[in-house]
Amino acid sequence: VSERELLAAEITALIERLAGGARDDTARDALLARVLRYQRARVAPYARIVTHSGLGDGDPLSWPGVPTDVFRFVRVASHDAARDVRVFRTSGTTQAQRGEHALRDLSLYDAGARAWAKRMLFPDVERMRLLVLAPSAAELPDSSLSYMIDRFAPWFGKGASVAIWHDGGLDLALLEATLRDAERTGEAVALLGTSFAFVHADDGLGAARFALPAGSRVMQTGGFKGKSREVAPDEMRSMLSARYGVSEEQIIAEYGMTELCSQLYERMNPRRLLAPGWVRVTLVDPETLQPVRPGEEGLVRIDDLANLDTVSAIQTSDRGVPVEDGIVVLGRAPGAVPRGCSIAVDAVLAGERA
Amino acid sequence: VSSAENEPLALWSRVQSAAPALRALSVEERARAIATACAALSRPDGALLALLSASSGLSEAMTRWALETTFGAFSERALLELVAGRQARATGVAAILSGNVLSAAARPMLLPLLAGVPVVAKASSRDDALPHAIAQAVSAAHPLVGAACAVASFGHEDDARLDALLAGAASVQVLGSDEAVAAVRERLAPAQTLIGRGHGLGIGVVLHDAAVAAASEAFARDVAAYDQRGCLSPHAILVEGDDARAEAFARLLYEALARIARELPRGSVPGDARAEQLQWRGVAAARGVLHASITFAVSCEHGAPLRPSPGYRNVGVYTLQSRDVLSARLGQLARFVKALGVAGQLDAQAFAALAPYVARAGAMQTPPLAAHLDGLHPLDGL
Repeated sequence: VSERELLAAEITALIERLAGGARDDTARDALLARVLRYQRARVAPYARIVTHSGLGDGDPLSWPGVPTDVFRFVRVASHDAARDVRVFRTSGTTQAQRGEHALRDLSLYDAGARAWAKRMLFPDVERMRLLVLAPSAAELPDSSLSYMIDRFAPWFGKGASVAIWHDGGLDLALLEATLRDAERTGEAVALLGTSFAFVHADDGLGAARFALPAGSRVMQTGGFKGKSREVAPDEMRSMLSARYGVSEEQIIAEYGMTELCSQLYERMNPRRLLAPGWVRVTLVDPETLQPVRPGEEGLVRIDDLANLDTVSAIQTSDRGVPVEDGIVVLGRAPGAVPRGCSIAVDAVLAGERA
Repeated sequence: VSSAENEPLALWSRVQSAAPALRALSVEERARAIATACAALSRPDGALLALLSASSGLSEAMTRWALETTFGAFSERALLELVAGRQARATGVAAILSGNVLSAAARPMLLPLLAGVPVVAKASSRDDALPHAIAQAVSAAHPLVGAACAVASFGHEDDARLDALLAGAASVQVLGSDEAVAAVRERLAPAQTLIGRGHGLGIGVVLHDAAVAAASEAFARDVAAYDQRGCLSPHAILVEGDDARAEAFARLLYEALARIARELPRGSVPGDARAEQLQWRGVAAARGVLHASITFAVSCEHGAPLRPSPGYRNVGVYTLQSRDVLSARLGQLARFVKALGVAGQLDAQAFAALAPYVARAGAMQTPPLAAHLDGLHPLDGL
């Protein structure tokens, strides 16, 4: 049995043990330390980041995470490209450099995604009808979100999912007909999609309002990325509740990233994102990369054991604050002073200039 | 500033009523007034320095340096040489100051006055201290010149005021992002002239005949100036030769930045820039060699494709096999390059196709008054 197989088996066992929401942070961190050592020995960019930090001789949990931009510039994987079974890519224009998350095995992704979605999205039902407001994996094969939602069909779906998004856009007539059908039959449905798709649907549905059967729910995820008008989280929740007749508690935001195999989901009262037990969430100072003091705002770092074949320690650019047993992810930090006339990194990477 | 003093229509009325007197002055009198005002602005008192430091985010020492080098270039002689043989046609200039480094207001506010053209500048309400200081300094130096200069402060969403400002202008100068320039262009009538100065970046080159130690000292000044937030600021420096030479230069540049940081400390860094800095440094560590402190960093990424810097004294060093491949080596950054700094034998003509402004290393951020930034004569559009 190789070291990888041993670690994969232990991670799978931990996911199964914590799938119901239990926590064992001691076991998680012990396994994470071993995984990080394994990855440092096999993923050259990660090894260089650890070496540069000067913390390489210390506890692996103190090593810095890999910033998400690194996935745009170098391959981050413990295996050769020939062994990739799936490469998820960040969204972007054709000119932009897109981050790549190369996986040689989807079993850990599937185990983590299924277990936490069951706990956070479908704890009360075995199966229900799924309406998808996002491109299918066939349409967008390198989207990790599309992959995940496609996998929901065999895990949680009753029959085939209804593809409200197809051929590059929303089929509003199909959406309305399917929702009216749910109203008639009294069969609960789950609407799953991107935030901007829900905004487009809201803009396109006009005066139509729905009273979906009890047990219906909405999962919305992702930012707007200039694809629709921007809607604040609370406003989005109210908008979806009013449009579909679903209580605000049944509108659940998902936080996922191309560079992660696991996801976080939102809970209310108070509103915060909850991570599964095999994921460690830390808020760090953007300059020292060390954890901020309890209660303080910092940049979100996520250590995901399911990322066995790439790097588990991922450093995001998202600001977050701790709230009870979870975090709230804030928007991009506002500029306190004028930035000057130097062109912004994003503008260059996106090739925005005409 | 009272409401009436901030209304573009009232300001146009005021400066246009002063226009005949401005034009009646000789060019020597106007140049002397501007030079006198700039001499005062180059030696700000403590209160103005503190105000500008707070609004710009630059340290007080860097703010002082920026004012000295910017306004120090506005000598009477340099102004007269600049305007010699040129005749202004514009009847009024609107200067839209949007997203600039601290001293960017100097040229668009002062050069129209030199040419005898009244000017109304639009500053953002959170960053209008220097435009107001310029207007006051000109008034103090020569009331007739000062009367032809005004500043309106309002936010970018205030379309009514913007339209009123543009309506009074024969010529419009915009300093800001490409989006800001395009937004103003859409609002202009065909007869109005637009000079847009969009955002950009600088690139440094260390040629094979340059001494790397001297080059590192010079480029450290270019990187530190304005905390690398200017459109002339170098994001990347290419070192002609092999990887070892690039690495040696990167190490020396890091040491030089450490020395400059004692003299001209970095100012505050907004939260989003700190997150970008974290990402930029992570990529550098992952694919090259990173020398980093809290307040500055130098990466050496050898033959990797160039990438932009988040600014705030984070600069990339790359290997350049030969100057013959410089154009190709710029890659995705090529179309954003506004300044090229050169260490070594400077052949400005040879590099002119790569950037509108070519300077010696160490002088990228201190262009002479006559420099054709953006490829334009400083008085174009007037």
